[in-house]
Amino acid sequence: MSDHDEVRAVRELRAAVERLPREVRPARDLWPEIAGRLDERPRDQSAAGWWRLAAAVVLMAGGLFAATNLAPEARSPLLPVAAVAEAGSAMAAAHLRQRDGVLHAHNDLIAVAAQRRGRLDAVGAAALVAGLADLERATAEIEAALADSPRDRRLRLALAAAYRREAGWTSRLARV
Amino acid sequence: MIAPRDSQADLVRRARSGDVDAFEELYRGHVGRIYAVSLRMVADPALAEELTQEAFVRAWRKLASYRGTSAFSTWLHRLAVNVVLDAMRARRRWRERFSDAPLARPPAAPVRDHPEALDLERGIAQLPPRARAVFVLHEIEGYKHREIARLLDLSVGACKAHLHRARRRLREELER
Repeated sequence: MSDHDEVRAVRELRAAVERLPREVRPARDLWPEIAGRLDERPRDQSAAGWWRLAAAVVLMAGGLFAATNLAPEARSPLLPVAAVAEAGSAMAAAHLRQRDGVLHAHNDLIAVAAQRRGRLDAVGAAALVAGLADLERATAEIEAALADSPRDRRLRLALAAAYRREAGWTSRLARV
Repeated sequence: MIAPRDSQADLVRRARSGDVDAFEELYRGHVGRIYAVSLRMVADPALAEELTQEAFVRAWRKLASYRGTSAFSTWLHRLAVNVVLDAMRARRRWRERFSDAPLARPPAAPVRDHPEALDLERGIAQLPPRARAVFVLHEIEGYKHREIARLLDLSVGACKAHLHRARRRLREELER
């Protein structure tokens, strides 16, 4: 293709791009779910720490459960769920080390998933990959929230919503 | 339809003070653009809906930090792009570690009104994720290479290379 043709082709592509609609409406109304996440009431400071911990444990245990149950040989999980729960108890004993505990549990989950990867079928693997990515996002939200001021009411609301969403996701994945 | 600037400033002011109805109006006015950029970047309608929700929830949470130095639509759009890129990064990391096969995802929602636009939307959806992100941000959303490079953690040269590759593939797609 000559330079002239190249320039013309780029112009045509740009013209086509400019004709694309700037707005695309989702197939369903997303507002009810968004509104549901805005309405939550914050918990008091002392309860919030325990609640975050419980949510983190549920999150990790749920993810682990999903990881092990997606594999054909689900009867002998490489890492018992109880171990993750114990990691959660350790986190409770040291609030300030919560983040480290979550990351530790997360790494255990990665190890399990990596070992079982070869035994998953394609659909199970795809679900696991997508689900674990969501799990990582949830962990990132925990980290971000802990780095910010714990007194920020809106932040706590959003964090609560994120935990609830991730808990819902893990239960869905567990049913796959 | 986006509200005129004055009434939009009023809606933002009311939303900042906790008025959910005002925030819903902002949502109604902006959801088309936010969903459009999300959908084009991830090429997955269900994920785009989830990310659109996340963007609005995050916007609600961060409204206090919006100072009005840029248009609300610009602020919201950038926030949404960051939400999408966070999700893409998380998915890419997990995919690289655990899966050889691409995730089975439905194609992007078609645009109804124009056959050429339909082909172009389909072509964009089929681009590799990074090339797609660069193309959408540069050609459709008007971002500069330097900014895209920073957002995607690429060099400016790599960003240009992705764009060149994307354009070539799309031209081929449209010529078929």
